[in-house]
Amino acid sequence: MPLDVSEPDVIKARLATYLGALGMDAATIGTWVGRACEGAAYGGQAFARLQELMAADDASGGTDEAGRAARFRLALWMGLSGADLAALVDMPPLCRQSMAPERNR
Amino acid sequence: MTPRASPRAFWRGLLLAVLVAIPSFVASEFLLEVLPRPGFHILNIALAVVFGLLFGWISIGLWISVAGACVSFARWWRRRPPSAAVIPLAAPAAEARTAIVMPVFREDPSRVCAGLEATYRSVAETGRLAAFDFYILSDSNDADAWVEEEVAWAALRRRLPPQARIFYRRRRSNIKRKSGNIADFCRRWGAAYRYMVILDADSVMTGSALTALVDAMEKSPTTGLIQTLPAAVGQNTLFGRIQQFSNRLYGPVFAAGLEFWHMNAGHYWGHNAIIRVAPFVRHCALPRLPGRGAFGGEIMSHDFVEAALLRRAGWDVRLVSGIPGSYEETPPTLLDELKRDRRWAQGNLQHTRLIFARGLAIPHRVVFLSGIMSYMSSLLWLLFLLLSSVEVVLHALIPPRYFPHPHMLFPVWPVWHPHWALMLFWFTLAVLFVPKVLAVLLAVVNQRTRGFGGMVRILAGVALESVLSALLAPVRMLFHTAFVVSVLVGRKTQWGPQARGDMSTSWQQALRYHATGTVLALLWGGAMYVLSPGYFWWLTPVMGAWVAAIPVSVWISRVGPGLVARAWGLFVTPEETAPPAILRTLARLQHDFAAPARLPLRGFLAAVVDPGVNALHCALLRERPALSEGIGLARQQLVLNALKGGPQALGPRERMRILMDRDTLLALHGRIWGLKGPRVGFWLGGLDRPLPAPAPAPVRIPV
Repeated sequence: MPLDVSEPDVIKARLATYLGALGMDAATIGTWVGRACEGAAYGGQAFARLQELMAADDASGGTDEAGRAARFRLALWMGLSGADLAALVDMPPLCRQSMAPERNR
Repeated sequence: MTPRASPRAFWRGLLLAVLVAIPSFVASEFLLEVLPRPGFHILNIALAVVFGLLFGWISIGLWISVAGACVSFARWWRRRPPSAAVIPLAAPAAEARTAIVMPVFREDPSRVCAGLEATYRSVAETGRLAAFDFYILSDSNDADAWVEEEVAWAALRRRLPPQARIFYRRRRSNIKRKSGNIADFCRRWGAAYRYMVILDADSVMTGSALTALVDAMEKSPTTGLIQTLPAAVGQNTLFGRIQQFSNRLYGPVFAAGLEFWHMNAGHYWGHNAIIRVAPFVRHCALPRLPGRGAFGGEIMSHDFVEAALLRRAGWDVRLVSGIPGSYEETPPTLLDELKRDRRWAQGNLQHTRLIFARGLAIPHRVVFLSGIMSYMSSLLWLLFLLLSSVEVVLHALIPPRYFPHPHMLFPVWPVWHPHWALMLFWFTLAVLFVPKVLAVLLAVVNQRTRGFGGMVRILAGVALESVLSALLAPVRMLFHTAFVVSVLVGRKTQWGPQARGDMSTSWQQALRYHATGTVLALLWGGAMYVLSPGYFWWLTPVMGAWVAAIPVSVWISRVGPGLVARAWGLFVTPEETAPPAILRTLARLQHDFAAPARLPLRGFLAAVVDPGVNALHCALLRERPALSEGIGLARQQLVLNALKGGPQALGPRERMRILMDRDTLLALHGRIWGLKGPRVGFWLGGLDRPLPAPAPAPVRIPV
């Protein structure tokens, strides 16, 4: 499909770099870049479409598209599945207690 | 609650006081005899008092070593283990959950994570990993350092199973520095743990050491804290290697002596120690000291105070030197050590505010006093040199009065006993050297000499170390005096990262820091040579060291001489002749450390541009409440400024503001990759080309 942007090769290369930085394999990068650039009028639009594709691929079910895309990126970058991703970034549950200042005792 | 000293502790304390006070008094009296007569009475008294204090200070070290040697010889004779704490529990308590806590402040993140991973793997080998959680608690207030820590932590997590319980947390506000960081952990997660083990950024501990500590705490429900004796490792500069050698050879004797004298009111050095969390939370919240200047504000050397507070509440605080597998690193150069000492000097002198605090155990008051004297003794030494020089100058300039009183039949001849002075000098040297001799003897009876390269190399090492100590002691004295004076006039020190690894001192740095001492030595020494050549030679060990400080400081800071010494088998330690598995693992992990980032970007730039690092950073940020309209607009303006001016246009505060807000960071990330025109180069310069094929997915190393 034709890419309707002023510098199509530059944008394609940039998107490929982006996905390559996440550790995606070359064949998948080609497919994703093609889908992102499909009908995009400029680089920003192509990148926004790429974010949409990532968000759609994230199974977390959140409403925030940028957040879902970020989760997808992190899972790909770290080589983790969804459940393992939660275990990665979650801190143990808080069990708050106070340390009374010495002067109060 | 004031802890009552046991009769044994009382008698030991009294014995040490007598052993220190009487010889110091005798030495002072002897000095009065040595000084020329007729002299200057007030000056002589001042000299005797200062000398007595200094003699008392060095004799404390002697008696600690003597006690340590006696205890260690007795254990060897009875074939007893170094400490009862090393005997494992028959049935370890599964519910004794323990947090391994590593506070960091702008440290080398790859070293931090490699150390923690080596510790984690060692704990896994004990089969008791389920009872341990690991925390990196960052106080780093620099955008690049923050991101690099996250990336290193991600690399660590990629090498371990996904369920590994190694957590990374960064505080937004580093109130009360390290002690505040630990307190923050205790408030949030402390209730989930019975114990916590505090590690420094360069600490490594074996699983067997950690489980031995937990077992020791389980066996002794009245113990609130156990401090291990960390072995210095990982040094390559000549200075670092000599410090490491001294630590390994002399440290065990000294620590055994501290155990003997302090009993259950022992030392806590802030790391490589296990703490019972509940009493720590209940009793160890540190107050902010009233007043301004260096003596007020946050307590800097918090560890001594926390130990004292625990003991005051009735909990035992023990230094146990017999647990192997506890390691740390030491400063690589003299200047790095002195920079650290600047902070420690302020922290220790601040304890003058606490030394008479209500209810503290006497041994902990002595710990405070020892910390203060560690730096005040330098001021006293310099004062002693100044007073003795003044005395000499006065004797040189004022002719003696042979008939000080009228109607005297016989003259009063000046009396001066240089051989008595020499005797006092040699006796003082003996006090300083006996601990070294005892340490060597103990290494022989404990069959540790092979670990140090054999008997010949031990003796050569001790001789060379003694020469270097003699050269460095006057330099340290001058710096410590300057630190004490700067604290007394109210100058506060800044909190900076600690230098670790193989750092070298440049000639420029050495000139900057040591030139004052060199000039002082030339002026002072020159004046003494003119006025009293005999006395000049007494000053040469000090003045000579100040004159030689610049080349010595540079030379010993270098790795080359250190490696040559190692090749000759000099200053080797047992951890080098037979490296423990954990240190081999650490070396391999540091060597093979590979960050997961594929783009050639680091720090703040990586968090903004690299899609993986950006996603990681956003995932680690906490949820924030909804922003007000004004703040939201300011954030949008920040994004626009960043796009317009590039990273160079952002100051440290603006970078931190971007990193602290997930939405701002995501917005900037998205806008940058869609940029066109010349501004692309600000952020994506050189990245507009496909990357090479990705490396295979990381292999998770089973534990």
